[in-house]
Amino acid sequence: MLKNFIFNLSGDITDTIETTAGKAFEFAPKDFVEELPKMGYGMLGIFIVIGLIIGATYLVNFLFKPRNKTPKN
Amino acid sequence: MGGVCHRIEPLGSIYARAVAALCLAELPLGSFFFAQILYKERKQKMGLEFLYEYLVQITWQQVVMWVIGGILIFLAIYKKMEPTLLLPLGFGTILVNFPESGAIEPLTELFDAGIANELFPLLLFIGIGAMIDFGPVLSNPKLMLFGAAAQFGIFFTLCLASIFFAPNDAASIAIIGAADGPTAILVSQELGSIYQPQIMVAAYSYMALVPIIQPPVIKLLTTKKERRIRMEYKPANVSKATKILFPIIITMVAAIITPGAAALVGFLMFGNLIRECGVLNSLSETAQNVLANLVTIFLGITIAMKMQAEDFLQINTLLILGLGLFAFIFDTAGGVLFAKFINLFLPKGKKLNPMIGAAGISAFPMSGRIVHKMGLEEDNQNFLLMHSIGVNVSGQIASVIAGGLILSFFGR
Repeated sequence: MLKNFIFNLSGDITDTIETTAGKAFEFAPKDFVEELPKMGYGMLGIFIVIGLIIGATYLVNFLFKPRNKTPKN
Repeated sequence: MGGVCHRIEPLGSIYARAVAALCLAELPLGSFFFAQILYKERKQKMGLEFLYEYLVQITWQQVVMWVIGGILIFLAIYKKMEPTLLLPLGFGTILVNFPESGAIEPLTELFDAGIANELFPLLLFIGIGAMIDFGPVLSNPKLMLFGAAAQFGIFFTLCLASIFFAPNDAASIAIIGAADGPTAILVSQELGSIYQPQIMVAAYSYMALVPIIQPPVIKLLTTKKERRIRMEYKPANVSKATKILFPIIITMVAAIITPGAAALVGFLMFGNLIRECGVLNSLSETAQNVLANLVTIFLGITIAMKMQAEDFLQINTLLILGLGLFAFIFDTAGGVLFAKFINLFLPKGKKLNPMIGAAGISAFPMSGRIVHKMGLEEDNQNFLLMHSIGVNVSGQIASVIAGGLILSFFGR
């Protein structure tokens, strides 16, 4: 059994490389261009959401500004 | 004991019958001798094959995974790179790469209980939210824009990855650029990506490698004069009411505009609310320490269930690691270039140090400290820490929003 294991080892390595190379990945450069709008929408979306959060933060900071207590004479 | 004694009926020896009598009398000595007989029986029937029958089933791929697991453990212990995740991940990698490994079944149960349903990342987010102090951001909310800009790498990598992978896998790979482990796990799980182990390893490894990845990119995109720009720090007082309302407002805004982000943002902000409300100190302590540590233990070793050789050792793994590195590089570039763009519109004495844009990635607090350190190297009186930490914190928010947007675009 041990002899068969060692004998098959080199065959296993070759099979694995061939199999993975065959199913490794597709190459479709046109998909880069097709996904560019999503990049634009994504960045725009993040800036819009962050912009709204910034606006809300300024509003809350204004409404709940810490007030310095003045001493009563 | 009586139930197994029928096994010795075929034995004809006086010795065996004596043992049978002892078994029936349920004397402990009988079980010892019984085990001896069984061992001799087995040895006679099979030789010593039972000792090495699994040893010869070990494949070279499993040996490679042991080496990978060992490397992750080495990086965690000796290089102190994200040890909370890399050590359980490394050990789990070794554990699941044995022939007929008995660890796979319990880990599968844990995986189904906590990762397949996205429970563990969300619980971890409660702990992370409880650890974050949004004070620097609240005193200067404009800094959040740099957090947004520093998510550029995610979307650019999405376009690059789509050349090689299906849309859901490309989006899952792109989210490595969020530099946030729970976000990467949750998004890749939600999108049903088959490359989750590679994505996890890439996300956590590159988070730990931020001190190596960011400085060359920053130096390439900035001049020495720009790196020496000093920024004045005028902390504004932030009221307790603001600190309490902030997590609620963020959750509502994010959930209304990007419902896919509701879970991510909501759990993060829930943790922060527990911290800031002031009436749940024990829960805050528990979330920051016990909960975060407990979930981290389960998360690390459970994700390793996917680190089996046949899943991990593919040519795609190298491609994914390369794309993950791209995401981090373009995140850094996006933040720095955005700061330089803003500087075009600012008067001379009010310029920003463009390095703070690089702190917008979510690797908190490492990225903020790197920018501060680089500022001191250029000018030992230039203290950028409060600005860079503020941007770094805003990157946490922006990264989960980016994750929500990705889910909105590609979600099931």
